[in-house]
Amino acid sequence: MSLENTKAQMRKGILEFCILSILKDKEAYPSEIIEKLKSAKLIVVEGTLYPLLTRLKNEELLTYRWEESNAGPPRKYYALTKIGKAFLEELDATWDDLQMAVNKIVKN
Amino acid sequence: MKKTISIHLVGSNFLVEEDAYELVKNYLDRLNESLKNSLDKKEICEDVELRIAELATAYLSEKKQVVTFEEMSTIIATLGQPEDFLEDEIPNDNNKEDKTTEKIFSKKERRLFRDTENSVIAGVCSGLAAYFNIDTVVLRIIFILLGFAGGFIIPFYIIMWFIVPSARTNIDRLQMQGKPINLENLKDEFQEATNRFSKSSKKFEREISDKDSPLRQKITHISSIFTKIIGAAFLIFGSLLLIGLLTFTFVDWEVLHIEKNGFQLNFNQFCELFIVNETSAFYLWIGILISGLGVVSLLLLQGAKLIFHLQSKWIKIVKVVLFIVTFSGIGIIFLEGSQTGADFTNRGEFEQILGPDTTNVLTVEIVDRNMTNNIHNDDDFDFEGFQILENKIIQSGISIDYSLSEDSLFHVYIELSAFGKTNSIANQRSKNIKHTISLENHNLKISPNYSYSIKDKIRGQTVMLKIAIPVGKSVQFRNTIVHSEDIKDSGFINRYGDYEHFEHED
Repeated sequence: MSLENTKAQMRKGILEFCILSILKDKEAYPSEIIEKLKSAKLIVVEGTLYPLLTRLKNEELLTYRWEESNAGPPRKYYALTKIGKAFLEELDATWDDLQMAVNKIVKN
Repeated sequence: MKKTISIHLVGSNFLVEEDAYELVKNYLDRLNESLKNSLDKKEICEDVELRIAELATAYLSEKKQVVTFEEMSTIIATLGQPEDFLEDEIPNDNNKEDKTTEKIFSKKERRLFRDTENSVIAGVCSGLAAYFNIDTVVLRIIFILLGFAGGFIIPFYIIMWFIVPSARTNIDRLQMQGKPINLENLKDEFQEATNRFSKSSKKFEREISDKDSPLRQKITHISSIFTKIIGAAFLIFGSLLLIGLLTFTFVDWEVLHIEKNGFQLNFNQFCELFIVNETSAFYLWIGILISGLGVVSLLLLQGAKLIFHLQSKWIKIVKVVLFIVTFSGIGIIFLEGSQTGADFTNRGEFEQILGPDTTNVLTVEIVDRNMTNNIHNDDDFDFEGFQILENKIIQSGISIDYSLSEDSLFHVYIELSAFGKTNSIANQRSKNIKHTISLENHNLKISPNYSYSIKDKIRGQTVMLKIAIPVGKSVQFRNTIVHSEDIKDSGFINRYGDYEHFEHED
């Protein structure tokens, strides 16, 4: 198992959680989500996002609506569903626990 | 100049360069392929297309309407390869890891193209070499050996040429080489292509204009090969002519060669026999030399130009100069030739009377049959009725013309004739002809040979014997009798001293 592979695995695990977090307060279209993920260096290639969004939507955590754009093609604005919000809350709690656990192990 | 293609991506239209189109089409095809087992295929593809459209829009403005290949490459790099980002999302076959590594080497992934950028003729060999992953040089050697061994490889090559498409885009080239189509390889390939193109701006131009139609590409390629073949023919012909010309200049130049008698006539002898004077002969030689060298240089230059695609204004200038040189040489030849030609314009005659004879049957005896005795040394020679001795020319063959005598006597005349520039020169040449025909005691003694000075040149000298036969009398040759009724006929005593009779029906 290579380092790159391990890094990718770690990122992938938290990617869904991050996407849901980005959509926590307001809806966003993929480019905005990409920007945030990129600036956090969570994704390398954009393509990664689309299957994920589709899957989250299929699992009814996300929903979207179309909106015309004055520059370029129409945009899909994604937002959390009720289920999504609940799911995110669960994940938030889990993340806090995980973070503490990991910090405890790594730092000591 | 690049071709642009209009594409439609979910909700918007774009103009993209042809290779950019190839790139994005290939990308979307592969995405589709990777998602073929997924229920979300349509949606994911739509999202990706949307994003491509969005990113492409960012590159465009009022002034810039077309998405370039480089821009499309960047867009696709941003999105990432479907094989990479779908890896975990879409459950695939068990051996997906094998699949990615196999990709580089797998023959299935390769497509057969003609590699026209590394071609000698049409890129069939280099294309096949890339397809089977072997060295192009090795394959070419095999082809050449097969070409020598049997001809089948040539039609095979031509068929391949027409069936196999040429690798026209960078994508094609990657598929040809079996490299996976990803950004790194595309960049490498693009870089390589740029290098190849910038090597010669001429070639670059050709490559670009070639993209119009594959058929035209083939036709221009065929014609360029023909051009090369013609160029090679020019070079070969020019070289042969040069050898001939050098032989003419420094060695004896044979004007006439007759195997039967081992007879050779070189240029000097030719001039001595035909050309009016030495000065004229010299200019003639110069003329032949100049025009010969001109033609040789033109052939060699043109051959080199066709083979190596030489293009320069100097070549044009040199060609013009060579044309002028060649034509002035030909001009000299014509000028000097016409001087000699002028010496053939007037015909002169000189008639001798051998006298009347009273006999009933005039017998003809042919003497001096064997004329080869006259050859004494190496400079002397003999051809078809001519013997050239040191200072005289002996010619053989005498015509006989019959007519009806106006009285009861035989009348025998000899008509000598020759050509000259003026009548008087022609007459003089006629007079200079020496023959040995005599009439003694009802017996006509004829030698088929007559001679004249070599200074007179060969100017159509002829000897005609005219015999007027009285009614009821005849001329007796060794094997032929000519009666007074046969006056419409004629005869000829050939170089071997044999009498030939020609009957004229009317």
